[in-house]
Amino acid sequence: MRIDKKAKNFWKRAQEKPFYKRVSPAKIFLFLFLTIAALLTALRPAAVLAAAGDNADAEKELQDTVREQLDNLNLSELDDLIGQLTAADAQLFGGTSFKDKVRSVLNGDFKLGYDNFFTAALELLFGNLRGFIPLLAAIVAIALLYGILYNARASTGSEGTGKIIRFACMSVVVVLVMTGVTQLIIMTRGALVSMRAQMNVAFPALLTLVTALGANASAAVYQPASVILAQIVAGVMTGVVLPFFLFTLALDIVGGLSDGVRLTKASAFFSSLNKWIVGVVFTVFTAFLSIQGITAGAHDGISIRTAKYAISHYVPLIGGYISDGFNLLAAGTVLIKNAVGFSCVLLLFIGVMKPVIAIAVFVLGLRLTAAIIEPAADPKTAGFLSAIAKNLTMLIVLLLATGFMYFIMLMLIVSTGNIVF
Amino acid sequence: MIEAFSKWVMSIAGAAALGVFVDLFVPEGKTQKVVRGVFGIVTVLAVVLPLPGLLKRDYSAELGSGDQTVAVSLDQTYLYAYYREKAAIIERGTEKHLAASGYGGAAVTLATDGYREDMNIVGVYMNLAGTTSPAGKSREQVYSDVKELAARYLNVGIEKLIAYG
Repeated sequence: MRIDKKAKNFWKRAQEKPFYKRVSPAKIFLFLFLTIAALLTALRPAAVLAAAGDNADAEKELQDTVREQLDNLNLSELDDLIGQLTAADAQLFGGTSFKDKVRSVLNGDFKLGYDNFFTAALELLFGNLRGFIPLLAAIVAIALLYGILYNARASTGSEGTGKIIRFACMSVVVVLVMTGVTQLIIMTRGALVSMRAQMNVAFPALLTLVTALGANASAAVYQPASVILAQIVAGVMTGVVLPFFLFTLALDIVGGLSDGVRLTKASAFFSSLNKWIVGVVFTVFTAFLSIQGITAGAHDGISIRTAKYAISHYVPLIGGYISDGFNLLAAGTVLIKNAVGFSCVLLLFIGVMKPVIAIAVFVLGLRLTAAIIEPAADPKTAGFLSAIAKNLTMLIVLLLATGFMYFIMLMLIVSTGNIVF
Repeated sequence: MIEAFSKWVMSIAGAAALGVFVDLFVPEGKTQKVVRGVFGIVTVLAVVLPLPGLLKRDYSAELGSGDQTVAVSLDQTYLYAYYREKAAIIERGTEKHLAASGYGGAAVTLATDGYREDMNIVGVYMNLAGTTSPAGKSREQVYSDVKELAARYLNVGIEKLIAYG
């Protein structure tokens, strides 16, 4: 075809004579000059038309407004939550007072320390690894010992002895595994309870700020949604999904003790039920909230712009002292709302990071142990460890699903009313 | 609900665990096969029998318990201070408007039916004690002018305005 021939000819010419040899230096210089000029024009800071003095006054007035409003806002319950953090977590959060944290975010003093988070994550990773290695080493030792004893028994031909040895070794392995799993369950439950407590405290503060801004449609959506999230969703996760996870564990353990007892399908049933519950709750809640939040936000954006005033029968003036005053007040509220929302996200992240890393390390450790013992030990032991590792991922799903729903809710509230001006 | 499920799972696990123990100690041969078969049936019965009872229950999810209404309680102190500040801005705006119209130094206080989003002005009190006014106007004329200016600015009936001082 003609197009193909043209393309072929183009590449042939390009290979024979490169671009920079075919275009004159003058053309290259002109092109570069125009590109640089365009970039400089686009990136040039906007001309400041107001006098420097006016800007400083407005900024000072905004700071005073923000300070006054923040003093009126009750964040003592969030301070109590910060008080429950460990010293390392409090350092990561950047203080022991939630209000001070909000102030530092408002002042621009706070910088998200990626180094701090990365260091903390690595410390958690290696700390958990160091904690779990003795446990996993003991499991490897027991499994290998069983392998040796089982082979020794095979030479004498006693089936009953083999079963008893297997039962005894499996019991020890189960006890060791359950030691680690119990710690993780306690940690997961603690994180879920902590998230629920954060929701119960953060949402009233944020919804107060949203209501003050006049975003009534959004407040009407988020009030029941926050109750549903904090009570029903968090309740389902701690009261239904976590117990069902324990059921799968119990069935895996009993099924792993003997060849004659097969309960893998029963365990798979509860595991599948858990996945369905988490999946449905997560999908329905986030879809409903996102759609409602977006439409409510759009409605509020228009209604806030056209009716910014708290006193009825007051004809809104375009410009003027009162309009500017209201804008300043609203701006202060928006800044505080965003700073509080950001601080809540930080607290959420710190609360979820620790158990997720611990569970991930243990799951990988179990899988590695199963891989190590598989050639030499009973395949059912390796299978048992793999099954437990697979089921433990449900705890990570639980934490991340709940955390993500909370995060979405926070982000929707933070983005509400930002289009005030 | 969870207690019922918990009992169900414990009964399955218990039947299976009993089967494990018995399987360990029963000698090899036909007896073992029969025992395994019996415990298999027992386990199946432990799984199946409680199911009709579990399915017949009434499961309900309520947000609150009893008459307790579940709602997010907003920080009323903050909201009061916020709307009070809005009223203060209008007061200051009115004072500036009066000053721009030649009646500087007036102190305006709004009376509303509460500090909330849909509050209404029920009265406007203007203290004109330190007010500068155009020369040649009597006190009554000044009161009348100030009330008219404020009424137009605030879009309220003139009967709600009280000037004194």
